[in-house]
Amino acid sequence: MEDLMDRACRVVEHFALEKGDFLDVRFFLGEATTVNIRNGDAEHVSNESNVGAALRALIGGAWGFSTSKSFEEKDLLVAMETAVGAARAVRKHIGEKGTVPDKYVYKGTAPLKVKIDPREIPLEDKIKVAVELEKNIRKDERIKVSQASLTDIVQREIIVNSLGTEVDVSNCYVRVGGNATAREGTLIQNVSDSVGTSRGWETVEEVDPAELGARVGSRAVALLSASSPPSGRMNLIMDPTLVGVFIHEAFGHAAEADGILSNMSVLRGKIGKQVGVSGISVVDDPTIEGLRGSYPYDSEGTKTRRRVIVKDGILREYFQSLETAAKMGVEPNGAGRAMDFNFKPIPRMGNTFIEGGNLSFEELCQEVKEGAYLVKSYGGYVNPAIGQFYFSAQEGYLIKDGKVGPLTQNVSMSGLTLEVLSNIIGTGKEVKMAFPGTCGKAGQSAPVTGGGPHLAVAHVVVGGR
Amino acid sequence: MVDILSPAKRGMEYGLSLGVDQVEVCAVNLSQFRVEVRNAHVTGSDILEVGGAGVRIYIGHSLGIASTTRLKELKGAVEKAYHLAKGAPADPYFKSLPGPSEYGGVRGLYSRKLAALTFEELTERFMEGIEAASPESGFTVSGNLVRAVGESAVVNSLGVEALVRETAISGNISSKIEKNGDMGLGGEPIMGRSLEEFDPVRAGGKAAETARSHLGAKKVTTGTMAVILDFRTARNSLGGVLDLGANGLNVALGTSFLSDSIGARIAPSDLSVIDDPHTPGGLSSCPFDDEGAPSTRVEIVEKGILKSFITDSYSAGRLGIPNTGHASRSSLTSKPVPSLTNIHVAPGNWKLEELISGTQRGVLLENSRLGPQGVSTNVSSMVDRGLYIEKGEVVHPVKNTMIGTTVFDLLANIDAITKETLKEGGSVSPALRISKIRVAGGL
Repeated sequence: MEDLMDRACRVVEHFALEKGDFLDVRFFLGEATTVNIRNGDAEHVSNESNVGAALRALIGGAWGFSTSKSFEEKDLLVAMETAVGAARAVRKHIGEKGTVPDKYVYKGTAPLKVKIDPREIPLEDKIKVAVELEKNIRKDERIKVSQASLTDIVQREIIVNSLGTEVDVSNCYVRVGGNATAREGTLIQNVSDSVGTSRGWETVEEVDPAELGARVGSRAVALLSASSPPSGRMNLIMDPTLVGVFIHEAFGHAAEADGILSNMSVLRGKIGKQVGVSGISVVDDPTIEGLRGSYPYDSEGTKTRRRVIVKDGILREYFQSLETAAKMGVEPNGAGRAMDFNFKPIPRMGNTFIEGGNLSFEELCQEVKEGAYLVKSYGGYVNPAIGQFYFSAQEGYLIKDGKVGPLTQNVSMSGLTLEVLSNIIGTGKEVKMAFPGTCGKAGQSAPVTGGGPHLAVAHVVVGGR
Repeated sequence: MVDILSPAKRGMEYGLSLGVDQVEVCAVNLSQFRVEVRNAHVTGSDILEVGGAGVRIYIGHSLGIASTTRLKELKGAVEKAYHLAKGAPADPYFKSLPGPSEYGGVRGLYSRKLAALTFEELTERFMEGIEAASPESGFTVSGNLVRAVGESAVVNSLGVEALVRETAISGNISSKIEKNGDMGLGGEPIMGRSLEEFDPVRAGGKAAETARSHLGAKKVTTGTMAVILDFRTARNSLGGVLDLGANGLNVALGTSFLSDSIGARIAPSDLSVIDDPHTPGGLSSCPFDDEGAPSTRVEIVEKGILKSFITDSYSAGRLGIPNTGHASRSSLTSKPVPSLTNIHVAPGNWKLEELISGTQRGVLLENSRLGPQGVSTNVSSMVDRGLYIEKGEVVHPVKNTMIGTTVFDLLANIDAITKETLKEGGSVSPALRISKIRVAGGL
């Protein structure tokens, strides 16, 4: 597919640009296969082909965007004309001119880095894994719905821009997981767990589907006899999956530079300032090999790097795309991600985590004394403009007198971005990148990972009953 | 107008030629204008076409699904679906795709005036709304707008052939005010199918007003109190709870909390809810559902009694009850599932101001949603926008506040419903009050 790069170059070169103008072409070739087994039956076996080209134009400081499902040069030229026309149509409404930095040009190829390409695996093998996983969830008659899902996605982006960037990058995402809904009378409880990576089919080979299924099933059944979740303001210990979602929602989104520039984040103007206790550091690293939020180049062709968002309680860096970096006068850090060709790249996270501390789990329990230990995330969301976030646990345990007590049902929590990192009262030792998730922003989803050590936090509002 | 019906029919016929039992092809083509505004200025202007085609093929009881963003490659998608169906395990509960039907008309799905709006005109009008959201210094305004014009089609090998032409406009305007170190945030949606419903100046003005009213947010003390759901919160919450509980698929799977409740009281007698996919101009209105079955009006709750479930072809077949035509697919690669369209909640006898003045201690939720996490019966939600009420008066906005209850208590403890209703996007809802609910505060 070498000629696509040449074709994109010809499309970009076709247009006469003024100083400060910018064009880019991004070919997107995505294919996904999903096997979903429910209660022993095939709920869903599917294949998705997602192929098209995204074209951006920055003309006179205004952005325009269009797409083409055809890769024919004449169709790409029409689409770029449309993008240029869209930019011209809004020029009088742009205020501060859009810009991109002209000194960062990236050239490179990052082929698929997998041991076993999931596209080479016969469908029957994929079905076999999902069937085995699902069967093991459904060992108790109180499990009403047992579901196993296996998805592999292979995506290739070829990115060319008018500054000279030429990048050809491929990514693979594999995820296998189970979901159980248990019921007793009118009480219904639901849990899930999954393994997700940016590696190949080897991800699935390293999972014991029977063990994963049995674990999910037994957790759902156990919750049927768990006590009601607690309510009120309390001290918590979060497991590494919850810490991953917590830091992603509580802090990560508020550190995305588009929100900063549009004055829709409470972290605006806080670079170099204390935003948390001195021992706390928050890192996002999309270069860690194999994690679900890893990628070598972003959707603008920028090479990715480790980003230290908070170091010892001080805010250090935001997530940058080309444009936000130019406006802030910093180097782009490879956070411009797009879901597919129908969307433009926007600043996003990759693998976000809190660095490890020095306390054992028992010591964290002693710090908390009375509160709850919450386990396994359902996900969350945040409103960065007012700095209020929400995240949810699948299950938990009460902590009494510094010791972990009885199991409780699922519950959600909320907090304030500018308070939470200052309320951390203890950080565990061992960091686990425990939550392979999917982040949603502006209608786009992106594979991410969240993690950290066990973490003790004071004064979290818990919404039980 | 792009012809999507002909390629869909060719794809269906090609599927049949492979010797399969049933084939369905759905196709979508939408021309979109999108405008993105940050800091009161346009930061994104997109003109594009979205859509593609999805194929479902059944060989016996085995299903294969494939989709493509390129209609020209539909034949390849049909072949992929065929191969997947050949290898997929059977689902013994599958009965059949829907057969052919006559469809009634639904008014107001397509607006010639909205379709004729140029990108420049759309942007100009939206920017008037952005301006209205910043009536004075101290406001920061953002917004997004999408206007879509296009067609959706479903054909299947049993004779279904359905095509609808639609327009839609959707988006929001957010306004944030900062004053003396404090901040308030307001947001207002834009939604409709006609040019007449596109009123960004109203939306912008309302967003600014809400932002102002949310200055001075405070934490509250944990306790059990009344919670008032404003019009949108009532619609979103009841819609969400009933979409789970009255959903035929969840009933068939045994995960609906209302599965054994047909004919039983689930709420006080002044709660009645219908779902009407034929509401003129409704955003979810259509004469047929996503499988091409005729959509129908369903009485879900009548005077507090659960009357009906909503179904698609699969869940209706499993339950042995009629297909209500509520199939909805989240993407072209998804298998359809039942989903509510436009809910109409019957008005009550109260005024909203009476709900507030009659509340000793409580929270008024604005433009929010209370609902369970997944299919769990527990409700644990953050208050995104709420006003604290004490002795019958709104005293301040709240922050860092959670609400915890169950779906059963949420329905059973409704003690007042307003006579005023909000008609928006095809749904109709009054505001309502839940007499007691656990509110966790940050104090």
